[in-house]
Amino acid sequence: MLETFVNLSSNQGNMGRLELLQTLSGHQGRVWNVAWNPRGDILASCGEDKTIRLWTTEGTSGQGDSIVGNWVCRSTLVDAHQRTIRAVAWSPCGNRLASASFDATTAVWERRIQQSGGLIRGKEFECVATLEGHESEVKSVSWARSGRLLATCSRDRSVWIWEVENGEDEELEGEFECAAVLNSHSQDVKRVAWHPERDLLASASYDDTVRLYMEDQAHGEWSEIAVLSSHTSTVWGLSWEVQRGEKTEVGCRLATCGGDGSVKIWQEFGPNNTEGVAPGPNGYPTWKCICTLSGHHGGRPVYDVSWCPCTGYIATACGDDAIRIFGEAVGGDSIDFGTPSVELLATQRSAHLQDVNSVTWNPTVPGLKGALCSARMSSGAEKGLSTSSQEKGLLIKDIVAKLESWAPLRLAGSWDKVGLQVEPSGSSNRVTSVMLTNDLTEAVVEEAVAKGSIGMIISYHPPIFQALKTLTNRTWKERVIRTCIENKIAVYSPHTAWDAVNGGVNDWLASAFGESLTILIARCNCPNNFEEKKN
Amino acid sequence: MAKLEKLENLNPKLFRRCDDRVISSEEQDENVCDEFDNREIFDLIRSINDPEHPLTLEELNVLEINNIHILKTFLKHVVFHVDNQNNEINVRFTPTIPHCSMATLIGLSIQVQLLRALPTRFKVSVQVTPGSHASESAVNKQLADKERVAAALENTYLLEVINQCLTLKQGA
Repeated sequence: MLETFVNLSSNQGNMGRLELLQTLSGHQGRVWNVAWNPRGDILASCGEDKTIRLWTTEGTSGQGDSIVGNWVCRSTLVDAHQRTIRAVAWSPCGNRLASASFDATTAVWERRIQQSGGLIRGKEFECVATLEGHESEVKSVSWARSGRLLATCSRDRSVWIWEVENGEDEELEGEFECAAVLNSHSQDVKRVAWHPERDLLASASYDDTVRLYMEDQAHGEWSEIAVLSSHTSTVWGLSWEVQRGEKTEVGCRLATCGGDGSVKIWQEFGPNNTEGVAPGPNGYPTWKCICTLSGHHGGRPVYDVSWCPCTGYIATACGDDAIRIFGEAVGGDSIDFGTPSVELLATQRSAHLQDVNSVTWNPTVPGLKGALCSARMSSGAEKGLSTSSQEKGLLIKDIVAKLESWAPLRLAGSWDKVGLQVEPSGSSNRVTSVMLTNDLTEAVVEEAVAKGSIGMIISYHPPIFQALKTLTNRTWKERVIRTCIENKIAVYSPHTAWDAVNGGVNDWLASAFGESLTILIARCNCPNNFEEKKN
Repeated sequence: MAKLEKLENLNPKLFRRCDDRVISSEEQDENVCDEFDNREIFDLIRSINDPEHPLTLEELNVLEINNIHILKTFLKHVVFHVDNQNNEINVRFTPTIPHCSMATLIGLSIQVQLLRALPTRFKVSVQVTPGSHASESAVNKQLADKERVAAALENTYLLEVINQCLTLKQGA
């Protein structure tokens, strides 16, 4: 599960420390990606459960320090994808969201005014377009700065660039037109990312390379302008540096990470660079790897890298469950031109219970604000089973749903009293142990209470069969029910539903006669008897 | 069984099955914490069926008990605190023939079996034994790519084939 906010504070010396602010739970199964909206006050997450969740602070008013508040899931976007949602991306204005899924489609969501009964109920995201074209899993999606271009990539080895007519200040009307299909990679393309200022696109692949693309202004065609090869395994992540202040003279930089456990920083050298680096073919800039950070990630794949737009720190998400922060030494006296001196500032081991899949800096809240609180980031990690280790047990409604999916209550006799008979207050009670009994006698209830961990009793015969008029100490029946209520023990009775279900009590009893012929004496009141047989 | 056009290895050499595990009295003692050992991992994998043959991986010698290593405690070089159990499981398997096209599927089945059976804290790495397969690095890279593995497990046809490989045979 889920995302974690981490605060980076700088203690004495170089080693910073990350502080867990909050764990956001809600996704079922692994969380694949997290993304901040441009204002930094909404976090989108997506994963195996085919949903996108949007998180904000409670009673949020805007940005800034709202990040310290209590984060809650504000809405869940569902029903757009048939399979895992691998990635989400916000448009530059924050009114649109794109999601890439293993179902080979990309969905575009737009924030629209919701009305019901003539009342405006605020703005919510609606799925307004589905982009089809990729042959297999779409793995990443990215919006260009203008908001008019969208890039997607897939296991089908291609990168697609889509154009949209409507600006972000108007509602999306037209279709997304495919502007280019780029087939440069020889294997799955794992990630695409637009440059923060220019219409320059980078893609990372299973073929161990990163490729850059630009539109040829003369012909209006998109083509590959550079191949960045140096990684020795799959390139998983890409993050552009947002240039701050005086640095704009220098070419831009890109951080990449991969299955080889390293992070690399690449720099662009334009035609008239002062370092004397020869320009690339057709006068395009040359790209060089100016820094490799290896040996920090314990030989595990680095799944994501995020270059903070506010502070310049680089965060990594690693397959060893850790989050690491790197920083560039200011005024480093390196001998080589342009070679940055980057060092490890902090390591958060066991940031998650499993691989960290995604890491992203908040775009508005700066990293180090001083000695205390600071950099904000979130990361997504893996897998649903870890949900159970944090929140042990199952919700009663989930247990009931499971029981009834096996033996629907409509199979029970019409005179019977089956189903959930006692439900403890509060909807978030989790049950770790269930006790089974044929009849819920006082001795059984005493045993359940003594065990301490029993959250539910499944009693074959219904403990409440005739109406109870009081709950006193007078009869054992009343005492049993009252004890269950007092101890927050749920009571469920299946009775004739389990008799009738295929493979249930009746079939078991009949099996005592071996292979002999079984004749149906009475049909249960299920309209579709044969369908139930499939269960 | 999946539709397989022709058998690549028509006449596999068979190996005797290993004896059942002897359970010690210490293992039956609820108060003693049992770590996962080689034999346990072996038992989880031994009965996986070869996608081509109605035999288990063990009978085909695709897997030997000594090829399974559970890597234990070692220190990493950026040390913040001692990681006293590294939670790694490293399985190497040898396909019956060096150009076996089923190698990825066998590897995937082993991986799925271990991921389903073991606690999530384990990092499971399944690879072919060095030098035992014609496209060793390609197979290993695919098996190590968790995104491909996750996508493959959402493919209902493939999942069905894997589940067949993992289904216990009668009498096995």
